[in-house]
Amino acid sequence: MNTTVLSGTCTGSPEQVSNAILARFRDAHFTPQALLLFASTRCPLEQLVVLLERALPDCKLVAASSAGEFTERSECSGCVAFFALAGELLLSSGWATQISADPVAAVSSAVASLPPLSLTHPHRTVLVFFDTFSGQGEETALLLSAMLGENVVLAGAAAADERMQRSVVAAGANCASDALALLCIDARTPVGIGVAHGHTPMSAPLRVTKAAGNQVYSIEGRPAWRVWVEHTRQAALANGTDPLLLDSPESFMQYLVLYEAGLSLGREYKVRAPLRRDADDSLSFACGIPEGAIIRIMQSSAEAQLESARKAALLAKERVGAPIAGALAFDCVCRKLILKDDFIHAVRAISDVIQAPLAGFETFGEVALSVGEMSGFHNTTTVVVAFPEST
Amino acid sequence: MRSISSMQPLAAPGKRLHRNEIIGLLAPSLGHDKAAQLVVEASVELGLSTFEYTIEDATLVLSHLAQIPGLTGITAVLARSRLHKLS
Repeated sequence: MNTTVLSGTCTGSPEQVSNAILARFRDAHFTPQALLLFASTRCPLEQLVVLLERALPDCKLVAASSAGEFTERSECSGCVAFFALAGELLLSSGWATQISADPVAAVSSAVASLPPLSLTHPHRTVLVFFDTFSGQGEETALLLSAMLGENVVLAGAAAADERMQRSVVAAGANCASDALALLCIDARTPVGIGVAHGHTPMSAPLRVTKAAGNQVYSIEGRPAWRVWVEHTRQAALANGTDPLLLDSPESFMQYLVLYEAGLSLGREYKVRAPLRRDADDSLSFACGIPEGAIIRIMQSSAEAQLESARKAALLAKERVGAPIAGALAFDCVCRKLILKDDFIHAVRAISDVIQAPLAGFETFGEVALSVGEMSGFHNTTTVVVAFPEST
Repeated sequence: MRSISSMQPLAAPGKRLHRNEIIGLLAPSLGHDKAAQLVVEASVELGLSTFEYTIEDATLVLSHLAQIPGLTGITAVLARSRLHKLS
């Protein structure tokens, strides 16, 4: 039995969305073994997962709130995208809460419910979803990799919210903020993962001079936000935005995801997202930033955003090396903010490469950690996870 | 599944590592500059060479860094569990 995928979008109340998804399954004579939901916070996941869990008791259900949803056919905002998977796969799920207080305990708890690796299905991929506002993005990815072992592939995303206020994740009927949800997929053949970003440095190297956890207080001895303004205001003014006139948490976040931080890795940059400017002009990031780190402020063009989406899809397709049953795409919310109405072209760029059912969402951070890699949390990227037809 | 406290390297003894190999395990999460600073500082504090390391020395350095709370410590735990890749 080959792996098959059904994807789609629905709008409405949790009841309407649940009914619409179940009708799609009936019409297609499709019995899902796993169901992933990416839901706008306008459709409360807390209610939706309870309805679907009750209707599909044998299906592994994992979900995340999102800041924009899409499939191979369309992109929307305020709806629910679904990705249903069936095939000769061994599936299990994990769940934990309170990752901000104790990420080690939370990841240990979520991993504890996963079964040992099967000899018949030796390729394990764990799809990871967690609350962005925990500020534990990289910590969660690294702990998962350390506990699961180096041969386990990780992919996923930080949950999001178009109002940039609250993100939730779900596993089964459990749904909460500050939580971690895992979908473990054991298969006979590996998935293909592609990850790419289109950002380049716009500032000189800057030293983080005071930081604790995911909070950066000062850069080069001055309040972090003021340094950000100093280095980005000219470019922002050219695009019609004055950072000195921003007046709401949403406007600050929308600004900051356009000008993120790049950690130098030699020739490449690992991008880190500042999510919030606080009253003391410090910046709160999506994961820890060590004091003493050297960063550059990054920016991207619309062309680079389109090209990086296509590149991620090509990498995933190349790594599968066989016909693709379907793919997930986790796309940083910055791409929509940069591309605006042209965002659909980025989705089409991915879909044109994959040529199979696709579902994804606009995230506040992406996870991709392939065998042998030492970092799994990304910002500003597109992560594409391609499932081969043959399992 | 392995618990975080049991993640010790499974490396061949006798192999010598260059500083940059240890930095390379930490840099993807911490950035190259911070990773280099941490490895050198830990080596000095432990009275080790800052240039060449046995697997045992590298384990000591990463175990030292693993005591630091937050992302640095977690990165060092993962790096220590992957030291065998360098042997």
